[in-house]
Amino acid sequence: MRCWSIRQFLTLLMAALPVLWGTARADSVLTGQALDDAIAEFARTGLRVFYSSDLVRPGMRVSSAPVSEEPLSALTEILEPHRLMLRRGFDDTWLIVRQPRTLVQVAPAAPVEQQSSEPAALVLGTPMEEVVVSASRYEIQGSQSVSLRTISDFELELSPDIGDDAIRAVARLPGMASGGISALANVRGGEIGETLVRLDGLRLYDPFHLRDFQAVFSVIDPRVIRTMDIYTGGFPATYGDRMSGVIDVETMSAPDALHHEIGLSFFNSSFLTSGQLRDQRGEWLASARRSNLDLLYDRFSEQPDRPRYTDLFAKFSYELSERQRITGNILRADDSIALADDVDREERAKASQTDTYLWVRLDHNLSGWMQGSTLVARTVIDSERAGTSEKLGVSAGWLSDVRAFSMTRIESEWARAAGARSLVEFGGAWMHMSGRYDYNEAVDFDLLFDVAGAPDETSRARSLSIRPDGHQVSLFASVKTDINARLSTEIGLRWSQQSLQQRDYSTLSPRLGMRYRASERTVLRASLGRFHQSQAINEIQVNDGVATDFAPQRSDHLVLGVDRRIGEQTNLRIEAYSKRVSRIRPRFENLLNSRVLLPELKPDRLRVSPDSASARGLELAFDGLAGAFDWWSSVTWSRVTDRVDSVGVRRNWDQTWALSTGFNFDLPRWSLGLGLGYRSGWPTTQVELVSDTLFPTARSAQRNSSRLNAFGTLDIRVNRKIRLENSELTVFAEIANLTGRSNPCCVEYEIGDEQDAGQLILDERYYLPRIPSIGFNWAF
Amino acid sequence: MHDSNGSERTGSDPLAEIIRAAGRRKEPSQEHYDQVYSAARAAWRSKLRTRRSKRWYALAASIAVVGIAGVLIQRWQVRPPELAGSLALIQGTVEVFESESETWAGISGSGIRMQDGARLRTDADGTAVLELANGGSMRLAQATEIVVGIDAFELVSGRLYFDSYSRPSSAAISVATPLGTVNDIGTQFEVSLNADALRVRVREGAIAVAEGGSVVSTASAGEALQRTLTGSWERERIAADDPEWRWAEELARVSESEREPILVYLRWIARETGKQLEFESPLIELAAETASFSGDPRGLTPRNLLETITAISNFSYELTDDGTILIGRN
Repeated sequence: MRCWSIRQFLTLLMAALPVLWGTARADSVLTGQALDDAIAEFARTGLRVFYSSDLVRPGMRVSSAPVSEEPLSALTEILEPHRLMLRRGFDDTWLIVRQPRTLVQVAPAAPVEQQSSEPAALVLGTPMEEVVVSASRYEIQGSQSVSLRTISDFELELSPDIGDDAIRAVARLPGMASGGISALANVRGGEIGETLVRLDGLRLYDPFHLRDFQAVFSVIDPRVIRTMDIYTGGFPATYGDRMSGVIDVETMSAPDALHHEIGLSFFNSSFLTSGQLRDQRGEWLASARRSNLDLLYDRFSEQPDRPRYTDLFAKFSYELSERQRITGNILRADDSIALADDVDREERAKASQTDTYLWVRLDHNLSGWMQGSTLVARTVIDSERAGTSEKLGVSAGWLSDVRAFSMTRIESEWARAAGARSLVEFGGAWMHMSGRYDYNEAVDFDLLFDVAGAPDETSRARSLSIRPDGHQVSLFASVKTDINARLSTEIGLRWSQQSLQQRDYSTLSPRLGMRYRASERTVLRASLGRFHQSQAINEIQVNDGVATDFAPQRSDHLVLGVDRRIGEQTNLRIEAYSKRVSRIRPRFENLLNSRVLLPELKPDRLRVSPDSASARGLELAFDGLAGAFDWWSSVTWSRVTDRVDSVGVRRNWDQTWALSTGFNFDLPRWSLGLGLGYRSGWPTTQVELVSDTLFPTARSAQRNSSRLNAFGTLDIRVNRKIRLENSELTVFAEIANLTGRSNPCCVEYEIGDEQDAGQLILDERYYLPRIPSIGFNWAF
Repeated sequence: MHDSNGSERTGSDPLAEIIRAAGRRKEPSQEHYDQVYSAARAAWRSKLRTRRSKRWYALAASIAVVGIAGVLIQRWQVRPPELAGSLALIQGTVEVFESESETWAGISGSGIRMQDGARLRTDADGTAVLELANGGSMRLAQATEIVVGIDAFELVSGRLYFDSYSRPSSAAISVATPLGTVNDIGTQFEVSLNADALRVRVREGAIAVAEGGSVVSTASAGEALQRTLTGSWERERIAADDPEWRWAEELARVSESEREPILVYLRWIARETGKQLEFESPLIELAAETASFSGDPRGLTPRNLLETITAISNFSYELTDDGTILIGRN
């Protein structure tokens, strides 16, 4: 029955396309047209209208044709999706201005656990340039930019800098569950790996430094970012192969003049350069960063091991003609990491990884009403990992791990106006992938856990070596239509087929989005869709003894949202969501302590195999602006549970309540940001040593039936801008976890010796303590 | 023609037979030849001389006709006065003197062309802006009368403001008054003539005042010269953004443009308001250079344009006490 429904949907969609296509030739072509061109057309009718590229940005397009035939009303309609409006100017002129207040949320400082020096600017629901009907779309603006676009952005200017890590800023959004150390958060109950990260159209695979050690920093320099679009659910058919969220990063364009930046903080040193060729047809942007963690280790650590990483992003873009632009990009991240637990000196790990992404993108603008891009990419990921754990009372260890992958991808996406009221987007991708895993392991456990999915042998030796190879093909199409002045819809369908290790899987993912303008101040949104996630070639769980891939997972989303403007300066957004996940592949996690360097070697490592999972939540977000004072606040209630053997079990990152609030006070030369985050403690499991076994064995109550104490952090940041001759120096200081609150993250365990011989010793461990940081950025 | 054995063919053509029968003509003697040749040559030369004389007469006649025609045409043709500029803005009552009827006629609208020597005046409620053909703008305050020139103007009474912006330095203008002539040296200045008082204020650049062809005083930016009853010149200070300039600022109009960088307009605003333009940071200045302004800004005063720009962009402005427009970002 379900398959029949999908076929029906597909048939209807395909039948609708030619009709809509044909309509395009009869109606005036406005949908999909560049917004500034459309405004210019209105101006030619005699309307005296003023606008700037500061607000009417070159990339903006008319998302839907106006219903009204009266020029002023029609212009108002096409501006509204971009949060712009008309205002009376002097005499008989009209001004295109920003709506009184956008839904702006500014996260002034990084979460205490992120070790990142700089806070975030979160902009809720800012210009719906691409998707007008999806619920759960957020936008994050990049920070200190080489480009005019970011510098000129209203929301960004109000906020302090994102700092060393752009993706970490996502954790501030409603519905996110931050694991504390990792840069990437869980999106509405999903696993961390369920979020798609794209950079200038190319999918990135685990784009983090210290990837195998909690993935602490992302590889994207926030200064190159123009915008980050974040979908926390119900995203359109354009995006695929991940089922919880999307982070779509677009990098800056170069300004007219040469521009350079030098930055230094506790966490990294960086250099950025950008500029244009003399004829202004070509431009470049390049950023290089080097971690300073090794220097900090020199100061504070007694261990000889040092973590080092670097990353480089560069792009060169050239305008082939008025309608074609070609861009060559490279992103490279190198890690050479050696870590040791300074406290016990028993955990030691080394790793080196090199990720290289090369891609060429050709942007086409066939006319004012049809645009597209074609991308050819080569991705190479190499990593090596060593081990040793040797923790008495827990386990001995050794681990070795070699992985290498390469992917070649060709992708093309297009958007075409279909009549005055519709926009069709379509595209496809083909990818070939190959790789190898060469894994070893040798473990001796001093303790076992009597929990389903945990190791049941006191020792273990593995050696898995596989060479997966396959391809992936995907096609998508979606139609956005303005049914009338109030109601807009987006219907989409995505088909994907993946072959890996001689298994073929095909999936169909229909999507539906609706947007209804109930009044001038109220917009209702709804998204309903099915999302599939195949197992990427680098996600085979060889490290946990699994040599095969699994069928694509499936998640069905229903999201309902209300945007309401209150007064002129305050906005409210309410969203409720429900997700049901099926075909879940097993995942591996640690029962008590995940904050270890080599989690696979621990006896509390579990294989969790849910039959299904569900996530529900209600998010309430406010923001407002009063002069230079910008504030924001959100409260989220949520629950995410796995269904394991017909029993509901909370996921490790289930958080009942989460509060995020703060303000940003911005003056011409000074800015102060302050943020507060608070959430329910994450689930944990009570364990006790049992006495009826010969080998030390811990038995648990129902998994994740208890909770750790709540998590809270107060972060502050101060920026001082100093104008120099032909340059600008920004000096900043910040303190993450200002109060030094001890936030429990996990429980360390061991079988005691000497006085506590034979006892199971449990010790609560904490997220990061108070972390101060200072630094500067010199732009010239 | 020959046959195959080389013997001459006896023909059937009777005419050929006769010619052959007559034989070769006898050659004349050299004497006879010379006589005939001399006579023939003399006759030919005589005929040639006659023909050449006729040509010279025709050419001379033609030149004379063309010359006479040119003179007549020149005398008949009325040389039009040279275009001095056009009126870009007229507010209130503005009149031009019609020489034929010797009356003042009211004018309105914009784009009215003003010729060299035209007389123009504004009433007590009128103002006007004259864009000069050679570049620069002349603004007339209320109750002002001038005689328009290409480079040389005459201020009969009232107050005018000249901005030599975009005018080549080789085309400096002068404003003559009964009390002296003001010569600009690439500048913005105001000349005011009331009764027996002549005042010159310099906002930018420098001017020289001449009497009887001799320079009697000079003034540079920030200075005002006032001719006293005794004929001497008093000097005062006046700031570039002094409220006294406001009347000229209110008449300033940006020229037609499309999608120019916002920085261009900000600089124009600063110049017209006599203020310094500063940015809170170089990056903001860079932003102003890259962001473009769209729409036809003609008709907006500098301050209105500043309000407009900051409304349609993320730029903000602050007028500081030291006469600076400080541009920041919202």
